[in-house]
Amino acid sequence: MARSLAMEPDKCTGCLQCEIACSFEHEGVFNPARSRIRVFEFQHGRLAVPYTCTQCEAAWCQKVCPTGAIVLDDQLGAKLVRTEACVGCKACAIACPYGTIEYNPLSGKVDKCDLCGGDPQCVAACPTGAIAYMETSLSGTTVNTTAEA
Amino acid sequence: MRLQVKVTGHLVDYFADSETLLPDGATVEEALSGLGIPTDQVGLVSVNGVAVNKSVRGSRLLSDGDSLTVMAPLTGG
Amino acid sequence: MSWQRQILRVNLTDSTIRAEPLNMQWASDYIGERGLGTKYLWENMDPEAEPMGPDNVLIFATGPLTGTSASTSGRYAVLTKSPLTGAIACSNSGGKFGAELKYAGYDLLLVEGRAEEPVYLRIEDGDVSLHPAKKIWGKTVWETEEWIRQEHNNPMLKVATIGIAGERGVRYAAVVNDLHRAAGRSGVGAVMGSKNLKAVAARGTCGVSVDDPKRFMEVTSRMKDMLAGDRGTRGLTKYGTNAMMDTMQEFGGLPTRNFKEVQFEGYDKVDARAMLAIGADGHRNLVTNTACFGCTIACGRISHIHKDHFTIVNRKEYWHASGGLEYETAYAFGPVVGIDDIDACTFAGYLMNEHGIDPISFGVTLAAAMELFEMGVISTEETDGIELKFGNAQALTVMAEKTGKQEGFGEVLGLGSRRMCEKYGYPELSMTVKGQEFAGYDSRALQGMGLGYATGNRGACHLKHDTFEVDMEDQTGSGKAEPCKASQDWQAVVDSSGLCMFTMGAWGPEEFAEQLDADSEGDWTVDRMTESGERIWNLERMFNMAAGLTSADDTLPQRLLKDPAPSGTAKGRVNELDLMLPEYYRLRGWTDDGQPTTETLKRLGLG
Repeated sequence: MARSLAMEPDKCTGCLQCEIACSFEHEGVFNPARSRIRVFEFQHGRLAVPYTCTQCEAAWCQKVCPTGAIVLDDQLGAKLVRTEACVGCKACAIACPYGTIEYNPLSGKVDKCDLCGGDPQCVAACPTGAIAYMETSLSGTTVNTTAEA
Repeated sequence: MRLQVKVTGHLVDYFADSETLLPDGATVEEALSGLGIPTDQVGLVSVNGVAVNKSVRGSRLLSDGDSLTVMAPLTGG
Repeated sequence: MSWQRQILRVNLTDSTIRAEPLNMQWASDYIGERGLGTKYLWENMDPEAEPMGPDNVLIFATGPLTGTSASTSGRYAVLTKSPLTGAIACSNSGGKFGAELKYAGYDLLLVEGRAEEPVYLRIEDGDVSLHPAKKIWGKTVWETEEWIRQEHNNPMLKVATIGIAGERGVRYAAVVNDLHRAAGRSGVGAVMGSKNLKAVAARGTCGVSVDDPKRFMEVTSRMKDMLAGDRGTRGLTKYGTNAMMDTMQEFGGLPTRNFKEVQFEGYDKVDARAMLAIGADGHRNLVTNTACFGCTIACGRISHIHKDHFTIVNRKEYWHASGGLEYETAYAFGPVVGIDDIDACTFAGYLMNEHGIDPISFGVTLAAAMELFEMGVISTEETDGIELKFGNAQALTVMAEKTGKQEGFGEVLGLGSRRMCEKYGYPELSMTVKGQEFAGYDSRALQGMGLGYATGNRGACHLKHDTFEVDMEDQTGSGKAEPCKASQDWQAVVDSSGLCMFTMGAWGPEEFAEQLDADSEGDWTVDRMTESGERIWNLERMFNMAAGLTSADDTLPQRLLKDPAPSGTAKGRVNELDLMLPEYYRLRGWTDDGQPTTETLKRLGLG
């Protein structure tokens, strides 16, 4: 059964340990600028929202890719970038409505969340459980819209 | 015997009431365990406003109507 | 080694920007951040320079562990010569700016000279330039951050800036980064203003690497588990630093009404539980806790003010949430000025961040003004009709805004407590050491704390030593010199590491040594770090001595030496500084008049 990340922004403190862990996992250095997960802060820190690719069904990135570089790993339940096929044309980055696939000027390819092959490091690093890795049917961003005005 | 209790800082998570009942002749140390407050989380105890040093918690007897204050350890900030 | 091995030197007089190699010998001797910044200050300026003059140097220094996966790895320090004290200033801050400066490729930013016209510095990795700040001079901290991000179309820029207070030279103006984290004390913002430097904005994508990543990740995640498992630290997460207030009240060390008393009847209206209490209409002061970069404790507070409160009922622009009360801001706006209105205190806190002011210095200065007003020395003509009485919440918020914008009586308050009390002929009412106002701990109740206040290199401050445990256990002055000196040396180490001192409830020296050693190729041990801490403390002392301070400045106000504590567990006590100081000097290896001996300096490599 495919699993994916589920965010609980109410638990997020904006500490960025997820960004540190993700960049370390993929780049071997601490560099939030290269992290595939980003935390967005609103209203002076009142709300912090971790956000990354939801491995969505529509998969616009996959549809627009001219070289078929984005493939679905259905066992893992994630869209993965085959870097050898990627030509860095950025069509996917334009097509993705969530902005969670990004051109990397250093590699000339695009980066996106690959669920760390089934052991997401952002989940391991999060001190408050604001990012969970669960059955896809149960997940999806649970933004608590009743946050006190 | 009945004790007035005042707990400060995060210790309120262990005991939040303002009084407690303890067997007569209980010591400060027995009171602390009676309140469920782990001793490593206690900064200072005072009885009726007078500080009770760590070394004498085991021997200092309490009496009915005493007011026991249990203070969290102080850290920076 | 997570050093970028590069510093940025900016000369504002001739607008030159140069990257230079980091002096690795200094990094080895002084660890980083506070220690390294002190060494660069010592080597780059004359300690007798005028604090508000062009020859003063302003430094933004990161630590070796800043920007790494270690918990609380967001700390950086602003160092300069203080216009408030004439001594060294070393103000530590968190938020996101420090890590960003490191990620841009710089371990330290050194600013010298003075710009002809107001400027701000933009750092985007290797692309660094000075820009005219005409459009944002006179703007608040909050407006400045927003403007700079839009001006450069880069929402990821992290900004450290001053408000009007810094521009106008308020002696205790702060540098505020990330909207509500501050390098607050000693007037570092006034120095920035005196250089016509409005802000530093940084964005970094270089990243930081360590030599042995596997070991570093193993060590830092074990240390994070330690923090998560520590009950006291979990209390800090839930209640924030303001959990201190009811303990200080019960202990009898909570300075009240300009230190005339040590307990405050209204404490429970402005303490941590009051921030968590839910009112009848469902309003709660605390909105959420928040974290600085990399911090797994998240003791930061985000609060909001009740919509009907007099401070904001018709000021919609303040209806949003922002930084909430820390212990020091709650003390400085509550007990020390006799005020128990949590919304007024929270609003004053907003103004401190928005206008770039140190809340401790402001609150204690206002406390002295209130005492002078109640004595009839200050009249309502001078205070624009405001009754400066203890307990008057409106006086707090009106004067906070006036001081922020330097209007009316705000200009007098901007002098700081020492200069203001001297101006009115009552210097003894100034609760300061070396001109810096006291934090929220009374030296009659906490004897070792008093010794730390008196001997602190940046003046009265509660963060450069840690004698809490021994002070609570034993309310006399005996046996306090050694723990005070030892904690001063170790505190200098923690302040130089890039990590936060609020981890010290869970981490001991071994835990810091393990993380620092795992990060850099040098082999760091507790002993080597402790010796570096002592070296840092002595270099700060040498800077102060060269700046003209003497052991006469190692003192406390008469009120703490002569007027006994009127209540609390330390009732009837005064601070026993005369008993503690000689022993302290002896333990320091200093002469009777507080001068480091040549043997001590040689031992530390400072001779």
